[in-house]
Amino acid sequence: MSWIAYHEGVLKILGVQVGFGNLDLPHIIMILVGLGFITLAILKEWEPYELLPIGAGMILANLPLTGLTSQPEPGMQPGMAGVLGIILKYGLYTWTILPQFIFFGIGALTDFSPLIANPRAFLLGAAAQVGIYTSFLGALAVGLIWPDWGFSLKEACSIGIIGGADGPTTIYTTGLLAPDIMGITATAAYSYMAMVAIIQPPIIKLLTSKAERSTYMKPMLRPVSRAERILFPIVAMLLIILIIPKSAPLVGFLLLGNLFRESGVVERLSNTAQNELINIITILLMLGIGASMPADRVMDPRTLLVLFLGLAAFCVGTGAGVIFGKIMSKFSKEPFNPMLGAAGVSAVPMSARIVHHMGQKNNKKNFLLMHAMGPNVAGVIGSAVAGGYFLGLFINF
Amino acid sequence: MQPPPVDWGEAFRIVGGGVLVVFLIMSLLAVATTLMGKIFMAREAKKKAAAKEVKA
Repeated sequence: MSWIAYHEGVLKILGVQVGFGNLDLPHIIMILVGLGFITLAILKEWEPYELLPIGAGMILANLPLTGLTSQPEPGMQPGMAGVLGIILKYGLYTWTILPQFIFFGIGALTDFSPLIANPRAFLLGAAAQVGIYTSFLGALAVGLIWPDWGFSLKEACSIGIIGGADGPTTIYTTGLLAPDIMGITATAAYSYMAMVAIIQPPIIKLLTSKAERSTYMKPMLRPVSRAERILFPIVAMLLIILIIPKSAPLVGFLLLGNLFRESGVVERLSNTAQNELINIITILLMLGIGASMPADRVMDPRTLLVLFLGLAAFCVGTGAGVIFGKIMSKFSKEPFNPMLGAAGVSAVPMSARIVHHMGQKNNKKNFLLMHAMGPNVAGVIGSAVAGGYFLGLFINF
Repeated sequence: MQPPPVDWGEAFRIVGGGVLVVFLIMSLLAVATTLMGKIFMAREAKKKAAAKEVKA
């Protein structure tokens, strides 16, 4: 073989089989974004359990020729499907079981006592979902300005649900309604959850006076009996699912996990749901989310619109919660701090912590954490109900 | 590819229905939880009163 022919052979291999030969600019950008997520997770500790595996999944999915994201197809030769493709197909697109099991774990981890002790918090959890519907309309309005970048009704639902600041609900709803934008909506939901400390305080300050933020509330809520804590998930499950049956996969699993926790008789199962199960599912789900963002899907001007509309949904949700909190404070017999409304978005427990810290900053005697946890866990239920409502419009199981 | 034109009537119906459903369910949950709390607190109070009587 001549020297030139040898070189041609090497170049051919480089071009066809070697990753470098197939690496183009969009893939490089996505790999850099993935590295950015990993950096934020490690250096800033921003939602590290989510952003680190999402970043890793993005990098793996955008490395050329790996075959990792090849989804199993009927008649495919053995071994041809990639592990990320299998997670995507069976965990997120076809069976969509992963978000439900995350909800199961969240239910096992959640203490609903602050909500049971102060049921008014349900209304704050409802008010904060207004952002979902505002961004739904915003997404549809995009088509009026830029017809080529417009969103369908299903896509608008998936974008709006980001405003709930609830990762699993966003993933589940988008997986069924608009799987093409699932990676972006899920990443937006988790990113905004990580940025609660940056996004929420300016909105709260804008909508409340210093006197309102300083409103003192007694730190203790009434004690909640074990019987109440056991009955709550059963009553809530029956009530919600009988009105919105399509919310069952999310609400049902959330409250089932909580029943395991509160029953006190299946401690091993509850511990597994709170630890091993949720950890395993988190790894699979977040890798899957990262893998659902190949460059050809993400490198689209509409991605920026999704991110913007998601952020708007989150901001409007926070604002609506605060405004509703102000209304409630006018009718409340006891002093009521309107900032609690901001905790109605379901970024648990970050939103509650922000409200608590802001409360202490304005009045050192204030200890709002338990008060804020009520609307915060109500927000989880509220966003799952909103997701179930959207699914009920378009999906027939 | 352009999505089909938006039916704004349907879009606003979805929004109205969604806000209504979320508030309805959360209000019902608030009422149910309040009632549940009142029943259990009354039962606790009765138990405590009975225990006091026995002690007395």
